[in-house]
Amino acid sequence: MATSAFECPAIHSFPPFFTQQPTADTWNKQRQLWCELVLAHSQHHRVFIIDADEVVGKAAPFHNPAIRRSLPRETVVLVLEHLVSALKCGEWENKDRTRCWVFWRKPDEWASLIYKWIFDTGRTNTVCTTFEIIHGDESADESFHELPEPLLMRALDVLVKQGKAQIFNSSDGNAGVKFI
Amino acid sequence: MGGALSKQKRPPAVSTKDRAVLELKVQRDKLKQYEKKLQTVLDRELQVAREQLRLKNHHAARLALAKKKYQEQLLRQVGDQLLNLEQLTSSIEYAMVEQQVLEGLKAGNQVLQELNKEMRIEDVEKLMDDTADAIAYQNELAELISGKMTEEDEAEIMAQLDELVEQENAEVIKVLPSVPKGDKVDQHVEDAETAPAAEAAPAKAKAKQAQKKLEEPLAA
Repeated sequence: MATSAFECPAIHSFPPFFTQQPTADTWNKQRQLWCELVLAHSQHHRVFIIDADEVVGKAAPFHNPAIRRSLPRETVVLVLEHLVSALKCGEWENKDRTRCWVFWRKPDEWASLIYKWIFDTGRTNTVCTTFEIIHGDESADESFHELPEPLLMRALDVLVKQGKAQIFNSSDGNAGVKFI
Repeated sequence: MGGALSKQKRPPAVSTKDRAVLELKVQRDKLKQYEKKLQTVLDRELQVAREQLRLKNHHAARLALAKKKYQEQLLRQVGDQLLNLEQLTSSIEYAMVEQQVLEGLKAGNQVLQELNKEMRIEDVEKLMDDTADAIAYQNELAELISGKMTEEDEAEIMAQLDELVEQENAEVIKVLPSVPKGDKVDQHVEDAETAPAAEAAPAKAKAKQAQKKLEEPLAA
């Protein structure tokens, strides 16, 4: 999907940006900037989950080879923690806080995108499989194509709460959705 | 979004038909995945065949091509089955739509019958007769009232009309160009000048007449 390269803000080439600042105010600001950067970067590259163990010292945007700086692991975790608890734009996959879902679109935003597609393609009142929604040929041009299944389920849960969908399982445990 | 609305409209329970459609669609998804897998294997075999040919290993290349042929056959079968499944799913979905249409028609028919029951022909006939009577009575009344009005109205209207005509004529006379000197033109202008005057004269007379008419009933 990402055709053009992601353009990092100027601060990304500023070495102190990669060190947790001792002053509380500065750190708050720095953390906020990091969160924005993570969200923008993830959206651009369609990254849905960040593994703290894998990104440290390797992957953009936590690593900038041009200035030979990397955000240390504990700072990465702090940034992600802020993303999860303060901005509500993320969720830890497990309790040990290594893998974190990044919600550059929140589940209800995905939900309305999906429902719009369902409505526009006349799929209301029909049964769809989750496979069909995220991997089907017909959704190939949609932004939610190849959305990770857990995120899809979160979005569908939103629609269920709104009374727009019902989730049920087939005999072999595959989830199906009936849109109302 | 529409919290109250969505609470009001509890979605209908998932029916067995929905479950059947889901089973079919799940099978379809599985076939599609299988199709993808076959395609990758097929591509791989072709690659192997090319590789073996480059290494002058004809036997292995032949084997790879044979495998590819077999996979292609499978792929075709999968395609046919997919088509079958999709046809069946569409048929079911279409049948469900038809059922809904039928239910809609039934409900409509019922309402229509109930409405018809409420409107009996005798009632309607009586109502129409009554209406006709009322209209006739109304017309009579209108005639009675308007009969007296017409004469006065007409006189006033005619008077106003004559006045307007007169005003118009006066305007025309004002706008006319002044008389130039010369025999031929003189003749022509005379004609033009006399014409509106001649027209205006009877109009004046008419206006006077109308004035009289208007006064007459008042005098009487």
